[in-house]
Amino acid sequence: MSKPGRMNILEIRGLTIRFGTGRKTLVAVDGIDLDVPRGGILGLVGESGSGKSTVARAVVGLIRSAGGTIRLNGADLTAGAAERRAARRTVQMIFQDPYASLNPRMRVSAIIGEAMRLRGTGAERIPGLLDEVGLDPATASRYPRELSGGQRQRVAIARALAVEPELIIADEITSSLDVSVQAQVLNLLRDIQRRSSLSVLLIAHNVAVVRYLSDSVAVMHMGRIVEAAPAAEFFRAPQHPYSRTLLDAVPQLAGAADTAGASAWTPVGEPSDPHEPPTGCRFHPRCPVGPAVAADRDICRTLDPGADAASRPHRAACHFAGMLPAPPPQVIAATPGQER
Amino acid sequence: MSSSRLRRALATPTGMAAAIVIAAMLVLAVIGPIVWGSKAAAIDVPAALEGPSWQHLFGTDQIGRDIFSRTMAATRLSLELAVLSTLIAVGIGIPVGITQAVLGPRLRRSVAGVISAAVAFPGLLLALFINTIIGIGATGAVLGIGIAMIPGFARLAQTLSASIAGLDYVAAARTLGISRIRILFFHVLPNIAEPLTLTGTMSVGWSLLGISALSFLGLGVRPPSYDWGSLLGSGLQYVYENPMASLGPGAFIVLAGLAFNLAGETLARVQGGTPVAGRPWSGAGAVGAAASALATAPAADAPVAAVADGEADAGPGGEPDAGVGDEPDGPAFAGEREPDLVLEVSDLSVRFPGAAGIVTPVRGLSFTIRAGERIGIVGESGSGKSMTVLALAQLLPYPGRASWKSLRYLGRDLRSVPAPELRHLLGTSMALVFQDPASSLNPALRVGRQLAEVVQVHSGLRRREAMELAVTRLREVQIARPELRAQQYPHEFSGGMRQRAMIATGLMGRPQLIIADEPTTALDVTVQRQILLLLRQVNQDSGAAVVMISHDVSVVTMLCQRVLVMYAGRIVEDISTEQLLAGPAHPYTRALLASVPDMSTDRDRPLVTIGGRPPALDALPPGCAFAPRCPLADERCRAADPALEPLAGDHRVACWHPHIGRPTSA
Repeated sequence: MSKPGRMNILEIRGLTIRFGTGRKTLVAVDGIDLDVPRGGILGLVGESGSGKSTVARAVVGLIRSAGGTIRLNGADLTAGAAERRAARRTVQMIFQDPYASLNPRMRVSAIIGEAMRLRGTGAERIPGLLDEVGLDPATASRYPRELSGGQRQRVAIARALAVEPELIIADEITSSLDVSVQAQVLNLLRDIQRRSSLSVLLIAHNVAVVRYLSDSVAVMHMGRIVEAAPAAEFFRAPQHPYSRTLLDAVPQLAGAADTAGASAWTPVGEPSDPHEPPTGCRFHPRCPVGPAVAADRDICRTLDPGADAASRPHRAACHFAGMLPAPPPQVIAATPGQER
Repeated sequence: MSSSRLRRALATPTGMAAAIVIAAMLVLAVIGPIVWGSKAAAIDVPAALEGPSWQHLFGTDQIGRDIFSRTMAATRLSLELAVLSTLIAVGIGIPVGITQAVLGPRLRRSVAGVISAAVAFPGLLLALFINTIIGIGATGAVLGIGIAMIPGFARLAQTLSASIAGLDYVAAARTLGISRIRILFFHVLPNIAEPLTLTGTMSVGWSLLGISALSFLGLGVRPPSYDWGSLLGSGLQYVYENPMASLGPGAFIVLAGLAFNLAGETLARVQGGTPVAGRPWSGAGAVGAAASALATAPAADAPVAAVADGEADAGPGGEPDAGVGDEPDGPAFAGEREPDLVLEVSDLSVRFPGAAGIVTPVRGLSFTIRAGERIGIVGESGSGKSMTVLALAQLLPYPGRASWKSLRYLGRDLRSVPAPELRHLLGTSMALVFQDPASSLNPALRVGRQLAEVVQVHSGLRRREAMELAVTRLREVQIARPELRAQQYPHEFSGGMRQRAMIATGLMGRPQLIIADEPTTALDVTVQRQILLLLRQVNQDSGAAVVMISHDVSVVTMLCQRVLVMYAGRIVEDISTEQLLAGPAHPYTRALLASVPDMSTDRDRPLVTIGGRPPALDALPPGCAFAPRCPLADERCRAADPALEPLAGDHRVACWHPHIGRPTSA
């Protein structure tokens, strides 16, 4: 394993987070390992309830972990309050809903100014910062209710940048925006990341968004990382059946019309109850190539495959990881209408 | 609170009445003891116990003091005590309550427990109890009433601040490392101040009544001091000789209490008024309203249920078009019109009266839906796509109004169908599926019963038969073990299963048109695919036309054969999915397609974006609504709005500069 904090700005090891007590305990995150490369974008994909937002909230200190370590630049955030305080300057979060993440009683200048005080810089940087996120500096005197969803999300990005963080956690930042605005915000995030070599933990359920931006990808399912790989590798040859079902479900504009046809990669049955996760591999009751389909794969029921060896560049928590048929070649041609 | 809203509130009769009475009371409180003080204290024993006269409006008491003067002079003390006790309640209750937003989990739970226990204790009893301990008198009354009101305020502040504390902007402040105190004062308090102010105002009235009651019982203000309550009490001793002696002070108690309550009501109305002044036509609210309308619709028309799927409609009414198409598979589509049209609408508009005049979220749409067709309506928020289908389903939320030149549904002119029959027609032949299956299903009813209810009402099936049909339909939407599932409640279903159940509900009435408004937006991608597959299956098996609304053009192409693209209340393009994927003609459609990243988007180029933002519906440009954002726009586009004209075959486009021919890459 590389020296801590050198290659990776964020290293999560064995992180466990529980909600509730007694019989109602929900293990939202179950001993995951995750690395965000310095200056790169890690896309964390998963469906609702997989625990991806819980990981994000734990990193910024909004949720306490029940076990494991979160190392930011080598310092363990789970160790104590001093480390967590220091981390606030290093990591910032952008939230999903820009209608809920800005205080309606504060002007834009106050919202950003509040973040700047933490850095000790004065209000004179506000116009420059607004300009950087593509907003008119006059926006500073506005209230959030006077802004559109896209403009609000830009303000939220400016607030995160005001602290001059090294790592930004972007939690579904475009899923509540209209498609034309989504493209603007994604372009902005891409520009900022390239300009200032920020590291980004990008959380999204939209695989196409993750593919467009990420350098590496991790897939989360029922509190566990089931696959992690460099992006090119992942999209070329995904190894976990769950990853395949996710990729297969992405609407394809470039493909033929009417692509909702039945696919071999559709999960079986209904989602499992997270309060009573299945034994062995947690995807086994739904796996389209697992024991529900192939009788000889009983091992999935009993033995947890585990995503061992975090050092391997492409890891997949599946007993049959190397044996999946390869996906059809990607259509590389540009989408019609993509010319400018 | 903005001053304009306050001014508007004061312009209402109740607001004005409350303001006038409170202002008068305040003036009285200031000048009362000065003007009437000496007269109120003047003892005139020979004039004792006189009735009302011009000299003594409310008469005199046992030692000849003028009761009217005493009532006037008592205003100050009465109001002072009421305000004081409210201040005690507010000053202790609110701080205790709002600390909930920043306390650690353990401390938070114990404080919440104490508050809950205190709220359960009856207020007036608590006040009496405290009053007895502290000692009878004004201090005891104020403390008693004040303390008794603390738990209520604490609970209110706790609930309000807990709801704010869960919001992302507080989470954002916490990740910035902002201190708890600052979070409390800058992020929590300003956002809960309004409801707290109004409750505080109403509480002044409440504590005035409480203290007056204590004084009346002799437990509050004691001689030689006097307030309205004690005057009322002493006046009651000779109520038969002089009723005014008690009625006078009593009237003032009632008047002041009413005024403070009305003031609170007015403040509440001012605050509640904000969402109404917002955008009544915005999607979410409309869908909610429509969903409830849908839920109540079947129950409303029970009397006409006898007309089951029937041919009966065509009967004696003698309408030329009546009865056509009531039989889904039959050859009933008679006549020279296009035989297989489910719906034909021309010039459909939807209007909403707003604060700044009338807004039209849907402007002059014309389109047709053929039997068995799968159509997608695509547009961004505010483009009018939901309003269009709500208008077709006659479910527009108040105060919206739809108008059209002609609207033919299943071959019948909807204007000529009487209201109860219309409900039956739509209830049996049109099915609606909404975005959030959790709120479209009644949580208190078993799923099977909800499905069965539809046919029991509309087709007059017996309970048992209806339940059997429900189980069949659940099986058809691929719900495993439908007999068992029919006996379960919606909360026992996963999100995808609830959406299946909603689709099954629509299938109960043998629909000819299924309208699905963002049916997969709340679902995960793998589930989304299953639901789309199911909709197509249903479409192929039942022959019902499907209209799917979505903001996501890529999702629509997965299901639909034809797509209507909407922008600012108009259809800008009506295009087959094949043609759409090969290259649409309207610049907006082209930009919309290009801006969605998919699995083949070039990672090295920025995404194509549409500059600017959609126009506000109350400030539409004179020409094409897309012109301000369109790279091709010229003078003509800015001056005249292009009509939706056929381009080639069924392909229609509303653009002066449509993109024609094979797509070329730049």
